[in-house]
Amino acid sequence: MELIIDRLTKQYKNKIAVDRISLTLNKGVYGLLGANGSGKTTLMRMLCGVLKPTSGEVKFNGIDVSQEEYRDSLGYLPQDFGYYPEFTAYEFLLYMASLKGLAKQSAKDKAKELLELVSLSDSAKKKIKTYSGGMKQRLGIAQAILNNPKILILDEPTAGLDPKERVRFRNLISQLGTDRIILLSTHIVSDIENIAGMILIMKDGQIVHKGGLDEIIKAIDGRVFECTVDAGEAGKLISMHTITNFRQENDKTFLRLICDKSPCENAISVKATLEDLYLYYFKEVNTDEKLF
Amino acid sequence: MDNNIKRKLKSVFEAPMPAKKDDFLNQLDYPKASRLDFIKSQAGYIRKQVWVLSLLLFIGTLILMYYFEVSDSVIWILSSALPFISLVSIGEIFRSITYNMDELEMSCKHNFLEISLIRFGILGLANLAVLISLLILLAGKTDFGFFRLGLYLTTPYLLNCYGSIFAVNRLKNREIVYVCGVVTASVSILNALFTTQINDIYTDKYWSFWIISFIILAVFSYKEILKLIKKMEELKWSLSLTV
Repeated sequence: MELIIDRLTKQYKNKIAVDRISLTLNKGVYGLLGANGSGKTTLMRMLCGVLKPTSGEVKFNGIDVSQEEYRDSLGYLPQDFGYYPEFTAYEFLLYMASLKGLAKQSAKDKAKELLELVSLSDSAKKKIKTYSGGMKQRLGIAQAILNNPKILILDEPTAGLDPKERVRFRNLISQLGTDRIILLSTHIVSDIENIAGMILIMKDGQIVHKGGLDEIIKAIDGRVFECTVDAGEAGKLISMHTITNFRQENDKTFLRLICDKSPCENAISVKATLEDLYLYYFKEVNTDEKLF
Repeated sequence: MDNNIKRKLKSVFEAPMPAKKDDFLNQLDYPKASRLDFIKSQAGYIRKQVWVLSLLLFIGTLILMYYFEVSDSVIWILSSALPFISLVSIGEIFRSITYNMDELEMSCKHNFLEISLIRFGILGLANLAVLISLLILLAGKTDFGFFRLGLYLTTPYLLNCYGSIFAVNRLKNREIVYVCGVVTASVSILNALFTTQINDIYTDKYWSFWIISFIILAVFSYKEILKLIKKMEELKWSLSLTV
């Protein structure tokens, strides 16, 4: 089982959204991390055959992304999806099952099984328009796995889920990831930290870093510090370094920051996390956002 | 194996729990629907209002014929109503875009293009059936004949198809069906005004006008439909979806 992405590029007029990405994905869960506009959604759309690449190719076990056989092996949850207003959750799953080529009886069985799995059995006959954001998201996850896909692509799957639902979702993904390729993107760093065996960090249309959690945070190992300083010193440190945590403690300020050497006398070196790394890589994006 | 032996074996030997049952089941392919099953299922997903409107037009014609003599008035009324059938059909084809289902449908085995073409085919056949039924009902009651009557009824219909698909091919928004509604209303009103203001519009004097209009609109509509299919193939819809 091998998904090969070869020099995949997407260009919109003078903006390159995805820039010559080459990757080989095997069985397992891959987490795609990146700021808004880094090209994650564009990459995922190209992997689903929804968007035509400007150049490059995507092949699963030798089958091109444009072929029906490829789509037969695919499950996709877009960032934002709609539904026909007259549909109930059960009807929606039957409709999606028909598009995925399932026979009528197996579509009914599978729809019931998945509604149970995502805890929507009690609301199966209710119109989707009455659902909350979390319920819609769970329904979206159910439709993505209707055809038992070999490639599962999930764009922001945990958006709108409450903490309990997120934990259940993580468990489900870990279970599914044992015998298929799962690529998921999210802004919630802890989701990636907990589920993904391989992390891909995307910036300006390119994969700037990839690897397992321990391997990937090595880049900032020994460079994460925590300290408690007075207001004047805090202001100085904030202007000079990437701050990953900030807290007011009585008349002092607690800071967690990334810098090449100890920033002050009482600073202690701590273990880096994926969130530190994320904030380190996207510090320019955060600075830009501050401008607005 | 004999049932008695089976029972005895069960009582003396405890079968082990199945190992890797889920893995084994996952390897099996699910039963797949044939292409014909898929087409039939799509016909079932066309909304009832499409069929109801077609039926209403047909019943309305029967009522008109029962109470009134078939005259030019009946023809302009019907030819002004027919574009609304094409509007409902166009709305049905682009329902995916209106309700933001297109991205999900594009990623499925039977994708957006295939679904749209099947809806095109089913609705096109349904519209044709309505049209032929109306012609059969009316042809014997007028002096125009089957072909000439067909021309009077289908020319405004074609103008609406052309105008609506022209708009769909050039505009990129989810409210495209409202634009098509405006096109349809304009075509219908124009047709009514045009045919009621010119008294001899359905006479030999304007015969060549009808033929030329029909041919031009048929060619233009065909070109726009080809453009639309190409646009769907190239998945250009995605451009409007991308942030």
